[in-house]
Amino acid sequence: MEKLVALSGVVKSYGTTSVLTGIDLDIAKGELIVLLGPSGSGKTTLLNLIAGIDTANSGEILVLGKNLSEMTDLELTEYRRDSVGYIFQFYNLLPNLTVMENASLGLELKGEELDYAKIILDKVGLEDKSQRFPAQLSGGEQQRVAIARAMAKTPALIVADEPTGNLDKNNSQSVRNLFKEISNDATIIIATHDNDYLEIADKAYELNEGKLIKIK
Amino acid sequence: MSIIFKKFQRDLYSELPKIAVSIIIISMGIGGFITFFQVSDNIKETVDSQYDEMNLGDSWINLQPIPIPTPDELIEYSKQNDDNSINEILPQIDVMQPRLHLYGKSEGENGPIIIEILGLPDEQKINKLRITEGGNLATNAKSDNIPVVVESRFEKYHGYGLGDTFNLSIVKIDQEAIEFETINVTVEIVGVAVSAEYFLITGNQGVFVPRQSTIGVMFVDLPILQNVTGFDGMINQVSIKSDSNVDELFSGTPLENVIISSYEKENMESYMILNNDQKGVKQVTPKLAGIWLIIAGCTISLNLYRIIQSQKKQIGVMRAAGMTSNEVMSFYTWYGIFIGAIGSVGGIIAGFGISVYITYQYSLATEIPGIVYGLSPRLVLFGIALSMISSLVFIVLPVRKAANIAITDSMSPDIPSFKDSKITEISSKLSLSLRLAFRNFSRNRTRTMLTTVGLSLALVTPFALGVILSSTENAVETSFDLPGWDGTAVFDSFQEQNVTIDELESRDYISSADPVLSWEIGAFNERIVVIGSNYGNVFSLPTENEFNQFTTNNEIIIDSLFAMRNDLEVNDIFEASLLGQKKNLTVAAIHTQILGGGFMSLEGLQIWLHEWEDEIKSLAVNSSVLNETEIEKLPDLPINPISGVYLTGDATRLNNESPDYMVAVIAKNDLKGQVDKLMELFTFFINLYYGLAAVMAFLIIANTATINMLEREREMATLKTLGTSDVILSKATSAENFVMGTIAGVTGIIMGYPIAVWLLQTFTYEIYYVPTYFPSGLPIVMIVCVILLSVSATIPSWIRLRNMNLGNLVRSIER
Repeated sequence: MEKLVALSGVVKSYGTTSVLTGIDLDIAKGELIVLLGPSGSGKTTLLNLIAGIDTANSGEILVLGKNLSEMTDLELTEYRRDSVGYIFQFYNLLPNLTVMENASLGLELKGEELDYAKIILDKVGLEDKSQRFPAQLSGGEQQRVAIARAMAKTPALIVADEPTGNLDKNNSQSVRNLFKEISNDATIIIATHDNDYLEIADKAYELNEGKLIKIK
Repeated sequence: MSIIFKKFQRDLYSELPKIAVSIIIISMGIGGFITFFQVSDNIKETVDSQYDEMNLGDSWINLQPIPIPTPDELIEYSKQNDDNSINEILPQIDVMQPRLHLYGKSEGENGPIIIEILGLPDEQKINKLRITEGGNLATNAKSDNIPVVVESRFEKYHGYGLGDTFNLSIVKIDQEAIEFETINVTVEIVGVAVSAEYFLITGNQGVFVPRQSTIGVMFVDLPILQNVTGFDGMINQVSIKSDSNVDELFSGTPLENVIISSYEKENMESYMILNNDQKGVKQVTPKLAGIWLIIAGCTISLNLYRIIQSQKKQIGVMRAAGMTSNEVMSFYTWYGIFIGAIGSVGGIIAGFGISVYITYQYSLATEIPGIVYGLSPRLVLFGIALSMISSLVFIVLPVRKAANIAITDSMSPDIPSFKDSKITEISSKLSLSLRLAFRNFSRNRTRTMLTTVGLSLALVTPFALGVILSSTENAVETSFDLPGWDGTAVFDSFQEQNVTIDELESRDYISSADPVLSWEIGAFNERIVVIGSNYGNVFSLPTENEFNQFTTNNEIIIDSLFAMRNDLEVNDIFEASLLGQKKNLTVAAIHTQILGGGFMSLEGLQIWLHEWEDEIKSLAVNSSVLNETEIEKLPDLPINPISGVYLTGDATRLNNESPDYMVAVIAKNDLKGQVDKLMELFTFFINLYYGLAAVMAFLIIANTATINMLEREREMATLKTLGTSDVILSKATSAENFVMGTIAGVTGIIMGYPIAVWLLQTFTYEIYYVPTYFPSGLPIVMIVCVILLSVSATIPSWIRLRNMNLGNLVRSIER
C-alpha cells in the first residue's frame, strides 16, 4: 500500500523532559491508526508533530513524501490547510461561527466551493442544525461538527486527539461509528486511552515511555 | 500574610500587563491635572514673587505734569519719604513714590528704538529694580555721560549692554517756545536691572504700537532726569501701595484735579497677560485631563471585567470554600485601590516633571526671568484623592459582577453565546477575516462599549485640539488679512495730518499713507487702545453684525471680549474717558479680531483729543492748584493730529529713510513674526497634547486587542491548526480594531466638535477672542490617523499570534 506517513527516529523533549525518544512509524494511505497510552505518554505530542503544529528535536517526519522539519512556517500552514484535518478533544469550534460556517471553514481557507460541507453535515446528522451556533449544541453534536469540519476539506490525513474524551458512552459510540464510516475516504490517526477504539482500528500502537509498541 | 492576600499579590503579577496599562492611563489623567494646575501655579507664583520682590505698587497714577512742591503735601512726602507724613495727608496710602515718565529715541543695532525713560528715586520703596549687573541708579558714569540703568532685555533687542554708551534724544516740551523739542544726551549704561515696569510698558498695546523689538526701557535717577530735561522738581506719575480704590483715595484731596488717569495693578496689561495665561492654562487643560480620567476609568473597568472573567472559576471555588460575596467584592476592590494608588504616584511624578518642562518653555517664550518651579502639597493630595476616586468609581460594576457570580455558573464552560441576528446575516457574506471581526465586535458588548467610549474620548482630545489650533491659526491669519496694509509708521508726537500724508505719499515707494490716531481710553476700569482711522480704507474688521462705516463721531467698535466682560451689545452706550475727558460712546459694532482693542472714526478721536485739550487748559486757567503749573503753557495740538499711518508700499525702506518724527515703521511681516512666535508656543502645547492623546488612544486599542487576543487564543490556535495563515488572522484582528476605531473615530468627531467649541469659549472669554473654525480636512486627517493607530495597535497581537504555542493552546479547556 502507498505510504502516507513515515516517521523515523523522531525525538521530542520539553526542556529536560523527554517525551518521544525515537519513534519509527509508517502509515499507509486509508489506514485507521489508533494510538493508545496513559495520560502524559506523548500521544498528543506525536499527533501534533504529524499534524505540523509542533516540531521534532530530531528525526524525520515524512508526510506525502515531504519532510515536515524542512518546511517553513508558511509551508507548514499550507500543509495543515490542505492536507490535515484536526479533531480536538474539546472540539474547539469557533463560537461566533455557525455550524455550517465551522464545517466549511477548511474549504473556505482552501478557496473551494462550500457545498461539500452540507453533504458532510448531512452525513454526521446535523444538516438541520447548520445555522445554529456552537453554544446551542450538545457536546456530542459539537464533536460531530468538529469531525465534519475535519472531513469537509477532504484532507489526506485526519488526526483526532481524544475525540470522545469529553463525551458520554452513547455519544462516544456514535462518534466511533462515524470514524469507521469515514475511514474509507481518509487516513485517520486517533490518539485515545479508550480501548473501544481497537474495534475500528486497522492498526493500533501503545505509546509507553516514549516508544511505540504495536498492539494490533 | 493571609492566603487571600498572597493570591492577590500573585494575581497582580500574572495580570501585570492589564494592571500596567490601567496604571499608565490613570497616571496620564492624573499627570494631566497635576501638570497644568502646577504650570498655572508656577506662572502665578512667578508673577507674584516678582511683584513681591520688586515690592510692586498697587496702582499707577498719571498726573498732569506738576511741579514739586505742589501740592504741599506731596513735597513733604517727596522730601522726607516718611511714612508718617504721608499718613497725615492720605491715611490709606502706605507708600507713594513720585516718578517722571518721558519718552526718547535712539538708534539701536537693529534699528530705531522708542525709549521709555523712567525717573525713579535712588532708593525705591516700591517698584524696586532688581539689579542683575553693574550698579544702581546712584552709580556714577565714568565720564560726563548720563548714568542709566537699562532693563535686562535691552542688550538682546538693541545691542547695548553694561558699560556701553549711546546717544539718546529725550522728547520734552519747550515751555518757552511752547513746542516739543528734543534734548540730545549721551548715556552710559551703569547697571542692568529686571523690572516689572518692562511688562507695563511693553505689554499688549495692540496692533498699532510696536513691542519689545522696538521699545527700550531705561531708568534714570529722578533728580538727574529732572535736571537734564529742565523739569526741575517736576513729576508726572506716582505709584502707590494701598489696598483702597484709587479714585476714592484721592477724592477731595489736592491731587484730585491733576489726575489724568489711574490704574490698579490688576488692570495693568502686564499683570493681566500673565494672569490670563495662568488662568487659561488652569481652566482649559483640566477639562481635557478630566476627559482622560474618564478614559482611564473605562480602561480600568474593562481590564477588571476581563480579570474577573478569567478568574470566574476561581471565584466559584473561593465561594464554594466559604468566601462571602462581600469578601469577593472587597478582594477585587483591592485592584482599584492598588491601581489608584500607584497611578497617583505615577501621575504626580510625571505631572511634576512635565510641569517643569512646560514652565521652562513658557519662561523662554515669554522671557520672564526668575521663573518659579514647584510641586504644591495641595495638588499632591488632590492627585491622590482624584486617582483613588476615579479608580474606585469605575470598578463598581465589575466588582459587583464578581460578587454576584453563582458557584454553579462559574463551573460551566464559558462558551460565548451567539444568536441569529442581522449582524450574523450581513456578515455571512463577508470574507472570513471580516466575518470574524464583525462577530467578535458584538461578542463582548461591555468591553466593546467601554473600549469604544474610551477610544472615542481619547480621539475627542486631538480632534478638539485640532479645531482649537485651526481656529486660532485662522483667527491670526484673518487678523492680518488686510489688503493694502504693508506696515504701520509710528510717530513720536502728533503730526498735522495733511502735510504728513502729502510728504509720505510723495515718496515713490509709498503708494498710500492712511492717517491713524492711536490713543488710550479708559472705561469700566479697563484701558483700551483705540485706533481712529478712515475705516474701510485699509483697516476693516470681522464683526459680529454688519458694519461698513461710522455715521457719528461718538461711535466705537469694541472687541468681543471687552463686550462680554462688560455685558455690552450693539447700540449700547457707555461712558469712557480720554485723559480724564469723559464722553458717552455708542457701540457701533463688536469685532472678532484676535488682538482686541477699540476702533473709532479718525475725526471722532481727533475731536475728543481737542475737547480734552480745551478742558485741561481752561482747568489750568481757573484752578488755584494748577495755575502755578506749566500746563497752560502746553503747546496746541495740531488741527488734525495723527500719530501714525497705515502704509501701502515698502515699509522696510521707509524705516531706513524715516523722517525725524517717525520712531518706527513696523512691517506687516515683522509684526506677524511676533504673533507667530506666540503661536509657536501655543502649537507646542497642542502638539504635546496630541502626543499624549495618541499614546493614550494607542494604549486603549492595543489593550483591548491584546485582551481579545488572549481571550481567543485557543480559537486563534485552532484556526492556525486548521491551516489559517497568520495573514488572515492578522487581518481579522486588524479589521476588528479598525471597526472599533472607525466607530470611535466618528463618535470622537461628533463629540469633539461641541467639546472644542466649549473649550474655545472658556479660552476665548479669558484670553483672546477665537471664533470657531472647522477645517474640512480635519475629519479626514482624523480618520487616517485612526486607521494608522488601529493597525499599529494590533502589532502586539500579531507578534503574539506568530509566536503562539499551538500544541498547548488547542488542548487547553479555557483560558
